[in-house]
Amino acid sequence: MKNRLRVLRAERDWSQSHLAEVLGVSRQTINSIETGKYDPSLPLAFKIALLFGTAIESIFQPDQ
Amino acid sequence: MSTADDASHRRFASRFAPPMAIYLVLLIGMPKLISSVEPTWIKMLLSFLPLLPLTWAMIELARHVARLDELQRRLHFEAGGIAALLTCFLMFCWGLVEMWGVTELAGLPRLNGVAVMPIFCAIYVFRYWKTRRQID
Repeated sequence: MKNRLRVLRAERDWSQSHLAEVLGVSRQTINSIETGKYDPSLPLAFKIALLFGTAIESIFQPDQ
Repeated sequence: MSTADDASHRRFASRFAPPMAIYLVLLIGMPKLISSVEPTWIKMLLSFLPLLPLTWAMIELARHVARLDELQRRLHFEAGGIAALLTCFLMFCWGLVEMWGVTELAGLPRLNGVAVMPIFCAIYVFRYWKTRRQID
């Protein structure tokens, strides 16, 4: 699944470690989501959307 | 790996190592210990002694996995599932070969139930390490 997580994180000048700490996950999970190697669970996706103040659909897009 | 991830793994290692060390010491010392006691029912009870530190180690592993995030937990459960499947398959295959007397004919060793744990752990560790490398 494509996502804009790296872009949103960079806009706030946050490191992967900082974002991981805020979301309560490991830095490896953040990296895996950003590189498209792992799709987050629904609760985590909602947490990410809430953190960035935007809808889930604007962050995650299905692969066409 | 981040500092928090490092700390989590170090904490697990510091809690997992002591029971495993006790388990190994008991495993090595059991033959001498068992041969030095009587009667047979005490020998049998002592045979189960290594299960105590092993149970402690398993509880620490379970606690560690429960504290992990969703991705890490998935990696561990996948590794555990594959390790269980392969271990069952390998032990069953070897059991068939033993049952038909082929191991004796070929001069191969017999495998008893104790072999399950090291085989399982080896496959588990290898699978977890391989998947983590693919994701990193």
